[in-house]
Amino acid sequence: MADAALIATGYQVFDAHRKEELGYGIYKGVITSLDMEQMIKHGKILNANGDEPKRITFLQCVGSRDEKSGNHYCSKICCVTAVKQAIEVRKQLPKCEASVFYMDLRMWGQGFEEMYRTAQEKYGVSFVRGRISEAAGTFDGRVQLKSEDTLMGLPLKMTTDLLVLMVGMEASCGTKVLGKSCDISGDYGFIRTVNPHLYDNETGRPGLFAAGTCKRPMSVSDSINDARSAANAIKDYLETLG
Amino acid sequence: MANRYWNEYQKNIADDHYYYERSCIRQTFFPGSETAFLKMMQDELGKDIFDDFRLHTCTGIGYHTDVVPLETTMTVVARIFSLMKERGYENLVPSCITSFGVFTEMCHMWQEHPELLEQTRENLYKACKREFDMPKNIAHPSDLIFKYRFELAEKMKYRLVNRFTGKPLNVVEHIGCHYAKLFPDKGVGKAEFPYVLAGMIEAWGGHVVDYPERRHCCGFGFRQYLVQENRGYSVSNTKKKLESMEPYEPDFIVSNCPGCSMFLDRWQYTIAEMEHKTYDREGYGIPVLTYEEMAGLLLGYDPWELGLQIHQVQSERLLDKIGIPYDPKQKYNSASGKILRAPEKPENLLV
Amino acid sequence: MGNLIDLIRSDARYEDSLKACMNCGICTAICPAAEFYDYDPRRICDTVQRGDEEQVEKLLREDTIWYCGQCMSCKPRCPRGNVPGAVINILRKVSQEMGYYKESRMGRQQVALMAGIGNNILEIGYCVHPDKVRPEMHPEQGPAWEWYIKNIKEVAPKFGANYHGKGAGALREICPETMEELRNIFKVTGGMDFHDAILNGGKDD
Repeated sequence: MADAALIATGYQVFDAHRKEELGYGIYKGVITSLDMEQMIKHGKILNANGDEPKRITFLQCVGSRDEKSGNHYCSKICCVTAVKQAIEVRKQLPKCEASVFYMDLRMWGQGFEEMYRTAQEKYGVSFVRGRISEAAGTFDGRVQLKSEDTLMGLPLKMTTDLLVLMVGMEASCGTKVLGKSCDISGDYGFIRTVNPHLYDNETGRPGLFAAGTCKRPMSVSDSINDARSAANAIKDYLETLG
Repeated sequence: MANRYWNEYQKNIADDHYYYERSCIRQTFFPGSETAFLKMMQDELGKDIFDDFRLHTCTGIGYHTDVVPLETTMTVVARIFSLMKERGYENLVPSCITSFGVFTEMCHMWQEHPELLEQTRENLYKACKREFDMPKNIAHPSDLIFKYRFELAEKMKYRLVNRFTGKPLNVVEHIGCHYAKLFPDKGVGKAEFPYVLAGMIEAWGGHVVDYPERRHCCGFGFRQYLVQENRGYSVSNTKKKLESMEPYEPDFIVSNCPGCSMFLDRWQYTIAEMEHKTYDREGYGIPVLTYEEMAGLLLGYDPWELGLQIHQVQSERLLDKIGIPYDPKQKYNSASGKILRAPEKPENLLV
Repeated sequence: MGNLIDLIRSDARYEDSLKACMNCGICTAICPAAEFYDYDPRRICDTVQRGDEEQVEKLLREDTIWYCGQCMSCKPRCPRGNVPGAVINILRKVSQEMGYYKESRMGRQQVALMAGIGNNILEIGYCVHPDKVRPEMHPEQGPAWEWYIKNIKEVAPKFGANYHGKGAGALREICPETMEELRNIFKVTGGMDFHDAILNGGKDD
């Protein structure tokens, strides 16, 4: 038996198969941001037919800010990630068009708003304010998408080689199970803390603490800070035990 | 469709004792389909399905053209439910997709707003001294055929296979918007990949075609067709679908909505006459069937009793592909066997 | 709050149709009317949501709200659970009640629809019936339809229809008792008054 325990069971990404209208798992040209990250890492960004793509489109808020998928909240880090991935695409494939379809550009964190500008000015990434309603596979292995350019007030239909779904963060299976069994489950199965400002590592059960994305979507720096905060909170707690 | 990653949503469909409500549009354009459906349910499957002469329109088209107020449509729907109750039935089977949508929507509204239900009870009583209950189950006839597709398959004489090539026929299935989109969990397979027709096609040997504009509305648009000067909207929407499906070379199109079945057929004729363009390779167009016609043909029902001769895109080449026999001499006969003069031929569309 | 906004918000369908719009454009993205007409369901929901009486009045006097085809493709997609197609029903109702529909070409078509569909329901108990789909008004129906209409009395029984017959069956004559109850329902619920108002030149604003 331990005197204290820290729950750090983390997150999982939204399962993009659930947004059936986007065709993930059905049309090869539809991938997630995780798939794209792997492609970027290995320097192999290829379309559904195995060729170099001429056009890549990023769609924000897949499984976030969406009543239909059950997640009303914002996943915080996808905007920054998409802009980063778009820049990487343009670096590796200078001839490939990259566009980001967004509702808002939530570039939380130091330097990231500037990164958005850099994406536009230096890397020629284009940004369309509109959410994609539907993606369908075409006869030649590309992806047809339907959106609205809300700033122009006109519907937009476009065929792209790769559609990258910026999937949101959800509580991991382990988080959900643990949350339920310890009776500390909050909204959406994330772990609930006593107070998000003052007691954000305490679960309310003595000795049981939580840190990181098991509580809510977080960036890397958020998580590191939260880990430090949790360590301090546990240290203080252990000291009270004598 | 192969490679589906979603679960086949199992909608609750009652298994017997159905109350049938006829469709204005299906009676108008596909009366043979309603006859065939009743025959399938009663004769092939031995089910109890009641055809009530005291029924009438649900006013759905009036509601969606905004000439019938909500309260009126609600009370008309209540009358239909009242008749159903009187006859001792709880399972409603509306032939029209708009009706299916209207019934589902009104029941939903009454559940969310009990004061509307109360108001409707008062109105119905005031108007005709009737009382009603909400149906226990509402299923579209295509849901029933889907539910019993394997039982029907056992009785079928033909399959959705091209007998010349041995390959499954390429079938485009079109789901009426108000079936899947209003309340996705009230439709088999939900809104994005509805399975009610795909299930029939796969059970009967065919291959379902997925194409980019699969979910696009056929373009009926209610007032966008019914008012003559708006019809451009309607034909343009169908044209969009036809252009999208063309590369996949469908052998035929099937729909569960009577309006969609009619439009997908007639607009092919219109486009052929206006633009010299058909979406098959030979200039005959792609035949469009109702699901009742599709099932009926495979069961061996006579094509001319089903009513294929009053489609504008002719189906003989499809019947030949499947191996269904037909007597060309009977095509334009009257019910009593009298030989009637055949229709005029279109200028461009081959018939 | 202004009068029109009140009328719109007091409709029973309002709270289920327009919760709060975040202007994402997913509805316009999929809307068939937006592809064909100068129509944008997102902008309409945004206008209604802003509660600007002047803007809403302008909307009700224009062609815009009459472009929707009522397909409800917007409904399964909206991430906030709104239904622009149902907001349209509410706007069309208010536009007709206030008489504003008369000021737009598309709005004035309501008279034709009332004379067509509205009268069909009250006269014969069908919204649509072969007797009312006359080939000369519907050239797009083609020569096969023309043939059917010409020969319908002799051909309909082949399909199992009971054309103009008594009792059950497709295309039957709806019995007088049913028609009377149907008309009473229209009278009691305001449907008849609405019908008469639109056909007699509508209410004045």
